[in-house]
Amino acid sequence: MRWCLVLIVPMLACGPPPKGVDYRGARLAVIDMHLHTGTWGHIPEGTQSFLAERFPFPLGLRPESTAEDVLTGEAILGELDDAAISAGLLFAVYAPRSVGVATNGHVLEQRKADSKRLWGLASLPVDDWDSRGEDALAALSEALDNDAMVGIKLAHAHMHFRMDDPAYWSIYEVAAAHGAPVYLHTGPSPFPNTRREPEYTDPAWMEAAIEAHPGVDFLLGHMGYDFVNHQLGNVDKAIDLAVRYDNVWLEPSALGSAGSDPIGTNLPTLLTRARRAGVADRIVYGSDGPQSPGFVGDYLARTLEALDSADYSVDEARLALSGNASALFGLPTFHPESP
Amino acid sequence: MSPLALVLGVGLAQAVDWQAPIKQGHPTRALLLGGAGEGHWNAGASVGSPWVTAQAQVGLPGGWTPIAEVQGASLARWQPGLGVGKRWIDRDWRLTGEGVVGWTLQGEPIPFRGPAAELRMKGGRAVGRFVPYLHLGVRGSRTVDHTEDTTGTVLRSSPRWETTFTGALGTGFVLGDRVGLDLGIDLPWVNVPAVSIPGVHLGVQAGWGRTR
Repeated sequence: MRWCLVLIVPMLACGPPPKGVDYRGARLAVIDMHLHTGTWGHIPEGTQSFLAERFPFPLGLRPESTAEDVLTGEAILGELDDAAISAGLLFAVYAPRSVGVATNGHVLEQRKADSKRLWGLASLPVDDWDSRGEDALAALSEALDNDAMVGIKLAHAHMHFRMDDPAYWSIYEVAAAHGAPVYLHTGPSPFPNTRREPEYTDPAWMEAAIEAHPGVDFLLGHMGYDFVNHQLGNVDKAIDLAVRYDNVWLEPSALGSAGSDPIGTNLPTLLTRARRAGVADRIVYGSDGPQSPGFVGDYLARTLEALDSADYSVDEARLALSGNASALFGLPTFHPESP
Repeated sequence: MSPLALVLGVGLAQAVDWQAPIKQGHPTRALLLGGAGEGHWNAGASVGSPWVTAQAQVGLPGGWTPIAEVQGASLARWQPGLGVGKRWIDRDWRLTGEGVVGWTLQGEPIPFRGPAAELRMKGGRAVGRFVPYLHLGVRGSRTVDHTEDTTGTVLRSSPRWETTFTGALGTGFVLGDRVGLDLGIDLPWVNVPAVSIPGVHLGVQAGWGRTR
């Protein structure tokens, strides 16, 4: 019995850390608004190889089990716990030619791991838009009727439709009808079979849609960062849109990771530029995790360093880390826990 | 007494000078430090995560040892090979070199099939019944990537090289004249500069042959 206690007590004491992070003497809650769930089988073959090559050896030899282990709602919750993050948003994705498919139904299923900490962004297929667009829009609208779906996720580069094509603006009309913010992947992506032309990646090509839909909040994911060349790319254009349009928000996920920003200067640089442009209060934190075990926490640590380096005040950091996400997506206000 | 304890007990009960030259062909020393004794056959196998290995060698005059081996990772990458080893230093410390040529066979989703060559050094010394060792090596493999269209017609072929630094650190444990154990950590850096995760293994070594 004594030995049991010796073993069990330390295990109980080693639970997840209290939610929240320390920033410039303040304790702040964190929401990670960019998390991916999915199944290996719904990823195209070429992208499976692309991903497997990026797993540390030997995980890439049997990538299916590795991926399934990190992409479930339970596994993502574990990553959030380890990173002391209060809540997260899971993305539905319909990009069968590039990164694959994670259906709205799958997101809702994974979200059951903890419905008080996980929500979803719905999406829709845009292939054969002329003939199947109406049905896709109806399904999107139905998904958004569920309170668990708090926004829309799009990725023109992955889904192969132009940012300036008004044929797809009906998606933004659905967003307006539901009061759902629209998250957009911007910037060239290294994934196979993605479109890399400016019409699909440069946030400036979104301006017409943004201007035409003032009632819809647009989150410019990755802020136009060039993931192919690991350069700032069209970051300034994303910031410029945020300066000129009140309904534009900036989400600097993934671009500050060790792989995407090997020197570690790009994330602080673009955060500095956003602050100097007067849109520091328009940053929304996301990681683009889980990617691999520990990535979610690592990206948060890097972001905190970058925020400090870019001289963000505590209030600005609070908005970036959770306040803006709560307000935009109608999430509860999360409070940090005492350490 | 458990079977393992029985084996260990029997092994420990034997009073043998494991530093003696006559023991140069002892299986644990031969496989972990390299160089089977003249006229000795040695074979060993290990299981671990992710690597499994099997190796056999025979001692020839002059410290030369032909080698046959196969290594596998996660049961998804196989590296069969044939080679030769040579004892360079054989005093308290033993240092040997080995060269192996073979093949790398790896399936989807990261197919790699092609010839390979590996050079490695093994070093260490027997300390009582323990045989701490360090292995270091480098392995080069070549494959050809094919780009195909939807009908399977090859549109383009391009060679690809993979460089791997191999390494292992561990210790053998001499159970008796013909049997030893091996416990170690594997530190290969596969396909440099991609990241690799270390592994661990547990092995059994055996040997037989005439005693000089």
